[in-house]
Amino acid sequence: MTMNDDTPYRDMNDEELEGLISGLPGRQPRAALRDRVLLGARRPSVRRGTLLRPAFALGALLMLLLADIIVVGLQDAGLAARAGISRSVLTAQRAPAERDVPPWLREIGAEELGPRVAWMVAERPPDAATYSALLADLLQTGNGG
Amino acid sequence: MEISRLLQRASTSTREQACAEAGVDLAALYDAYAASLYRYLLALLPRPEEAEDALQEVFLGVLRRTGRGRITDLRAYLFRAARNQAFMALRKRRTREKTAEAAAALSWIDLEACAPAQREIAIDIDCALRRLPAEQREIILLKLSEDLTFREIAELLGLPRATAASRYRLALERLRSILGSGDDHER
Repeated sequence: MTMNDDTPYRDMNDEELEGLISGLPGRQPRAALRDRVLLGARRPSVRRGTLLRPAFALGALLMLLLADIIVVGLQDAGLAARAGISRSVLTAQRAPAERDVPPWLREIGAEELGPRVAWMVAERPPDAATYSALLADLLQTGNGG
Repeated sequence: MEISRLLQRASTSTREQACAEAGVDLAALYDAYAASLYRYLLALLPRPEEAEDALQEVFLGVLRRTGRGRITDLRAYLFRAARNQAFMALRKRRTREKTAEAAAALSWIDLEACAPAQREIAIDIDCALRRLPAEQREIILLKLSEDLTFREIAELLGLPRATAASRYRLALERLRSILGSGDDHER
């Protein structure tokens, strides 16, 4: 400890203490820091990797979207193949055109069940036994189910 | 001032031109203000390496600012930029480490550069400064080491002039009390 026992600072007035502090030499930054600052100024202002992150995120998002489209497409194709109908029927939003609907289908009112059912039945007519059963059920219960 | 002229020229040129000229302009700017700003950052930040990083950001910030209008008071601008950088560093440190350091690792006084006759006093004052709260250390540095007026200090700290003056008196009193207590080395 360098402090004297009589603590000279205690009796100093403000001006003396201020003079003492302001007379002390101040630290200087290291010489290497000057080079670092000047070198940093010459580098491009956009840091490396700054744009990489959003680009990567966008790429990942597009990949996910693409993967989703492929998976759903494959599932639709598999389902359509098992049902023996074309894949477009699964995603049909409109009822089939008048000429594509067999008369017997209109007879049982199947178009009202929705465009997908109408397409499905129009594409793959049921056999005679199923038709008879459906018609009988419809006549009996009114819902064809 | 020559440096103001250089900086103003950089501010009115395009960014590419400013960057091309930056090697020269920034070097002049650095030589004129780096030491003052470094001491100021040492008063605000607990670690010298943080002060160095903040100092670098201050000067790079000047470059990034080119083309966004003139700087009317360069010294005030740089001190304000240094203060902002110091607060940003402190915020990062708090979220990163969750522990606040009690005192600065270094004061701005260069003990190595002191004359032998000054050495003991310098050590006493250095230790006492490090024990002051940062806001008191800051105001003592601005007044005594960097010779800013109370008006300039008030503008920098966003305080009324009278408040800056009374904060300074309080800091000086606290420093005297630490020095007078004789236990300023026990850290």
